[in-house]
Amino acid sequence: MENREKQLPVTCPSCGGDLNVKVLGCPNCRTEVSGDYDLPVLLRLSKDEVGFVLSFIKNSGSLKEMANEMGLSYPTVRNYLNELIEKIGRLEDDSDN
Amino acid sequence: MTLTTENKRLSMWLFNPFLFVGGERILFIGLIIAAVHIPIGYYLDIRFAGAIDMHLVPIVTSWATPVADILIAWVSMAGCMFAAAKLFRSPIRVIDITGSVAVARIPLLISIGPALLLEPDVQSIEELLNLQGSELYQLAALSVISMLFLIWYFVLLYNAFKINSNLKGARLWIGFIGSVIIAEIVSIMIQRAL
Repeated sequence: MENREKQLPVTCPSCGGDLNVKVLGCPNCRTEVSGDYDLPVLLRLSKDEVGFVLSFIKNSGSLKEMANEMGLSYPTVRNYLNELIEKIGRLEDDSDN
Repeated sequence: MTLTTENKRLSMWLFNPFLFVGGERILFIGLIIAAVHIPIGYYLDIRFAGAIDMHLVPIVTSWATPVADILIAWVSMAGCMFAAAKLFRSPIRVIDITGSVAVARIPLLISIGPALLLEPDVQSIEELLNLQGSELYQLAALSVISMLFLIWYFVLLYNAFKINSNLKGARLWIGFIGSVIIAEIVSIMIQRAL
């Protein structure tokens, strides 16, 4: 059987709305904490977007270094960063409302 | 990598190499492509008189002609695209757009091959209008091929502007069409003034 990588679901498969955290569990002692917590903005990004953010931090914010590492041009990486900034802005606005 | 993604990557390199190459590297490649115009213009008697033009002429007598041609064509297009992007507050860099505009000229250079092979041997407009038989088909084929290379050139120019300016929607189209038209007018005006 195909071994698929699990991804954190961030949108509701039924209505498409944002999901919240209801239960957190300790894998060590099996304690469960329940409540109603908003997902942090960074966790609402896709896997590729989180990878981009991590790469940005690891490269000390140097887009030039990132472009070399990713095999892309500087403007392409800068455009991707601008799109990510816009998306984070939208997610923050959604969280505030 | 599957065949589909390899094909996609190849088409990206053909129509949008600016996704992968920028900065000093694209400027260096652009300089080589601009330099290649000079011997081609001189030895093959070709004028690049205008930002989007390429013409076969009876003779190019001086090295200065192709040097001026490519400089005017290159600087006017890069300058107009840079100015248009800046007008819309884009973070465009001179180094990227200058190199990209020169790289976008590759289809114009390649189109010289079919133009030299298929150009009918005519000396006047009257002769051209009276072409018949195989020479007429040759001219038709050359027109279609030239049009395809011109479209390829415009696609590259559009992608160069899009990637380097990061403009979207109406601003992208207005900026692109406006800068191409103005670059062509400016380059022809400079050519006439020389």
